[in-house]
Amino acid sequence: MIDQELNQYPFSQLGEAGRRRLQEGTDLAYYEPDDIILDAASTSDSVFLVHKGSVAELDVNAPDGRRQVGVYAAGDLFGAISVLNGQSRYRFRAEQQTLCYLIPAGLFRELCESEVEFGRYFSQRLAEKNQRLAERREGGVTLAGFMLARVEACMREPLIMPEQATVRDAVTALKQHGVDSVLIQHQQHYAIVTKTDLLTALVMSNQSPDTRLAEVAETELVTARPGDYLFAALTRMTRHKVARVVVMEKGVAVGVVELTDVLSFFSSRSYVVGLEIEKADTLEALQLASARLPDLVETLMAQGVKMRFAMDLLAALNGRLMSKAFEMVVPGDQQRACLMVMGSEGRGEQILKTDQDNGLILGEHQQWSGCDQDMQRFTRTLLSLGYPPCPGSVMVSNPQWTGPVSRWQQRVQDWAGDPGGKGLLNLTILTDAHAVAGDPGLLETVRDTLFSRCSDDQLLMAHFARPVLQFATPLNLFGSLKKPLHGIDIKKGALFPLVHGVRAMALQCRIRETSTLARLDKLVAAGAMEPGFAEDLGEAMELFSELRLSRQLAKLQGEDETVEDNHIVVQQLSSLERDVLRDALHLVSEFKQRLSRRFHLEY
Amino acid sequence: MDIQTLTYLFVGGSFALYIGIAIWSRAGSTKDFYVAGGGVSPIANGAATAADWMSAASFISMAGIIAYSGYDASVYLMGWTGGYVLLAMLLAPYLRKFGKFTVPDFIGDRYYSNVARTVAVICVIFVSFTYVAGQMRGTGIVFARFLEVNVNTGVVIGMAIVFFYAVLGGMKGITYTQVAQYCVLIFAFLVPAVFLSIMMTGHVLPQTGFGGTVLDAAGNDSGVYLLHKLDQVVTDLGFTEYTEGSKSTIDVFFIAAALMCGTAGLPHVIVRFFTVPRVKDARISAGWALFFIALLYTSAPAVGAFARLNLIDTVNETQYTELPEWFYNWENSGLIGWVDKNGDGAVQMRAGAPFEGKPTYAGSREETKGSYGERVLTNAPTDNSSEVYIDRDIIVLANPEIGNLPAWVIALVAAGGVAAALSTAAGLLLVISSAISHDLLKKTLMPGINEKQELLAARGAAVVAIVIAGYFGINPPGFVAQVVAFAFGLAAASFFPVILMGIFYKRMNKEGAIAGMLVGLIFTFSYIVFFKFVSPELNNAEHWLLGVSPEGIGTFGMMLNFAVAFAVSRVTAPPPEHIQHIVEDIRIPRGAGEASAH
Repeated sequence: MIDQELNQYPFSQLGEAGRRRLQEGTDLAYYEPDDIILDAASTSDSVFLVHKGSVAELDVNAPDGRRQVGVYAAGDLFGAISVLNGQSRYRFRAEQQTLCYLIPAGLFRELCESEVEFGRYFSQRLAEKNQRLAERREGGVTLAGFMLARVEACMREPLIMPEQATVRDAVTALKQHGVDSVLIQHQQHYAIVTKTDLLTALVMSNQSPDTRLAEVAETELVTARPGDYLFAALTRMTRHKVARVVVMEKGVAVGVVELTDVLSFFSSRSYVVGLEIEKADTLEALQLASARLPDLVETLMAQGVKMRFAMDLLAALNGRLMSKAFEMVVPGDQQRACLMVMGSEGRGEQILKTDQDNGLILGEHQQWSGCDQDMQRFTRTLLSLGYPPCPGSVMVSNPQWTGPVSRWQQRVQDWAGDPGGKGLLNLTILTDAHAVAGDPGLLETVRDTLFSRCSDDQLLMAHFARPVLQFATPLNLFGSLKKPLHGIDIKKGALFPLVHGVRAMALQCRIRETSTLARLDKLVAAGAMEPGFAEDLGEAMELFSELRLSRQLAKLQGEDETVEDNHIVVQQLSSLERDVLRDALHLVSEFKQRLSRRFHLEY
Repeated sequence: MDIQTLTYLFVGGSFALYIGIAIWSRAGSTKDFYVAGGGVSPIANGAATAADWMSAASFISMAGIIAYSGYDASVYLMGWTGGYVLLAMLLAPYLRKFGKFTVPDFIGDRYYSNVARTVAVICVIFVSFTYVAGQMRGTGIVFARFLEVNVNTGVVIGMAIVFFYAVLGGMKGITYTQVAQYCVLIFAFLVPAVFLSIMMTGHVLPQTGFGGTVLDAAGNDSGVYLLHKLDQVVTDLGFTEYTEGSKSTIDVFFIAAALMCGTAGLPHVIVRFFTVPRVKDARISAGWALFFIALLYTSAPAVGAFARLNLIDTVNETQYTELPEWFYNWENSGLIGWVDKNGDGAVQMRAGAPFEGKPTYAGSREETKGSYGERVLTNAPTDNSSEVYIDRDIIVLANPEIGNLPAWVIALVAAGGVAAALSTAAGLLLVISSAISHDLLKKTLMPGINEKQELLAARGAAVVAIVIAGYFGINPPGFVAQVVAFAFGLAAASFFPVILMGIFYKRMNKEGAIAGMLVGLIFTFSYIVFFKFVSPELNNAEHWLLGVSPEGIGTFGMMLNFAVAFAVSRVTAPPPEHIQHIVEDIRIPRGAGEASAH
């Protein structure tokens, strides 16, 4: 066995004697493409270490198209768990011409026993793998199923009625077809009437059954396209607080997706969380729903859901949670005040619950005498929902972060005039603000002021962007990854410069979106960035977030207490992961250079 | 240790220090994400500004010019110091409020015109180029002497180091690297100055030693003032009196004003004021910077005087074979030349040039040895009795050797010279590359280029700038001083009035600005070209307009610029409403009274 592999984790845990035995006892084997290296349910007499080529891990019991479980490339190890378990659960098949080192099962077991650290690594992996497997069975949705389901798989034929139809006609039709909503068509436009709308019209507003449907219909439709991910449609429903989306194709309504349909499609406990939040009418119910979020995150990650979707879903859920809490705490006549969340919550990029960063914008003539007390209560409520307080006190309980529009506008002026003090930090926080409850127009007014004051002020923008260069990218002089034993700080070295750089560019280009990925799209549209580069940055961002999240989850489960927050120990990554990480860091490095030029940071 | 080893040690050590600071300041992972005020104290910022400001010209050449020209050279002291004050007080605070980084950006936006922007860009590039060329020559001389290579090779080494430092290193933006450079620079300048002051006058401060009395050989006060002695010595040799200027008062005034206004627009220093986020801190920094600059500028006249006196004492009437080692070393570098006109084997220092042009040698010392072992020159000798050429730029570097100071002081001065050249050259290169890539290409000529292309253009511009500057460093066009005068004169005549009126006169419109710039530019350009290049034989006070030399004519051009711009703006339409509003707003400190205004 060559030394390169021996220096990798977990082999680097071996002592001198262990290494020598390994070197002496290992064979090299060659496989043609499609050779089955280790079949499912067979006993394995070796552990395999890929030297060259790649190997697919397949679940033979899964339906076609959803079989692949994992891929192993140079430097990766497989079959260890099969040895420890007695037999292999999956089939391992060579994808290309592949060279593997074979470590005899007997030798491997001996090493696990004699070398404590080495053995612990595998026993942990085993436990982890079993747990994930259990979740998968319970969740009922496979990775592929979750990722690939499209809206069209789950939509119903729309029930379309002419615009002259009456409420009576609609009720009859609904009952006859067993559906919950009906579309009415007016030339090219559609409107929707739901059961709730009908009930409201008949019972609450006392309208006659002969009222024309057009009068009770909702014309602002939440729509999706047939090719959209079902997942995205679900997110949209949650965000807009509706129970159905209309599926449009080339301007024609081709279907309706009902929330209940989506839920039954997935039939997973995960999605029930969203429903629970919607249904919650007491604080206790909300707390229960909120407590399930961490589980949901873990399940999503275990299922390999794409980071982008997971972030969107969680941002929507968190937003609904806060907005519900807001409705419960704030008196009904004051609810047009705009509650905004900031920081990573504002960008919709937090996965696990982070500190509450929020603020409140009141309408210009809004009289709210008990505002301070109500907001204190709101902050306490969020605390009870599991959102820790913000250490910098960027919270509605702090009067510095509440007030009418004009006061916010004055604040923007003050902050921009004092970039040396706290001003810059506050501007940075405000730039990420996203409205979750009340009138979002208020936030947009404040944002207009932010743009007109900051976007064209090159000096201010330079100070705004400067923190991007604060931390070195963890690459060495020759462009390969730094490998300190305590790990590299993925937040300071990679995630922060990326997020902050995109934020600075968004502020400069007056982009209202707050999530980094959406900002990248808009930057491309505005011509401020080439499409290819923006796409690469987006992928890098997802990679860093994933790495960071997996660290955080590991920490939550009490593993590896020695490694600091946000730190990735490069030695523990597979060589494939390392390559990807290195490329992504080079991208960050290039991005920093571009930002230096754009914002004149070289001086 | 010999001087050469020590020099390697000091220059290498100072580099290690700069790089170390850069790495340390970026790698710290304990820092917060956002540091209020950039986390840099105003004193540090002042020192960094001073390092940007003081170039190789200040460090190496200024004392040399003073040593040779005496009183006449004081225009440089006044002009450059005044320029800094003008910049710090009159321009920077308002440009800062306008929110634009570069002078061309300011002019382009204030006068809502790409023509005005382009004229400003060209001026910036031209002024910066001349300045960089001077830095290249400076580093070249340092390396030539201490690595014992030819001055041309020295310039090439300097080019490589500046390129690495400015373009690849990304160290420019780190304040503490600049602070370290200032410390090395000022230490290197003051240590020999203090040593010499004590040895020659008994004063610790060179500033007071300059006005003090000289000590005799036994170390007792001779009662003769330094400047009196110097006047005596130089007039004995046929030079004009050291403390008596040869320029007319009006000429001195005009030259100083042109240097002042030309320097005030130097882009790489303006930028330094912008890197401090807080207005109050920026002001305090500017004060400290003035103090730090004054430390060097007030010592320079003393250094010049000590050097002149020592030089004459050591070299004049000494047998060539008995000269100290440094004389031969500088001769090897090509910066000293001796021609034994009277054949007595001794060196005579007299007024006038010993031969025509810069020294050119027949070959290396080994190949063509003169009768006393000197390097043989191919220049045609003049018919006066002056025998020796000593490049003015070596005065500061050779000073410690001439004064017999310890070897480590000599090595320290080398490190200081490199530090002075590096920070300024790097700053100017950035300005040139961003003026070309951002102001010229992106904003004017090719708005369609993307970020990546802009970055490439910037890199390319920096490389081209270094190569051209290096070329002029190797082949100084025989009229470096003229080109510098040209640069500052043009800067003063073109964009200084436009910036000033852009800030203080809201009625100034683009027609006025462009007309003013063009008139100032064309007038100054033609005057200089006529006297310097077309009819150099007429270049004397009799033919000058009002007795103003081409070096000072920029001031006249500036006045014309003001007058024309004012007149034209009165007869054309006023600038758009929003521009007038911005100009009014610029002069009100932000935050004051704004609350009530809205």
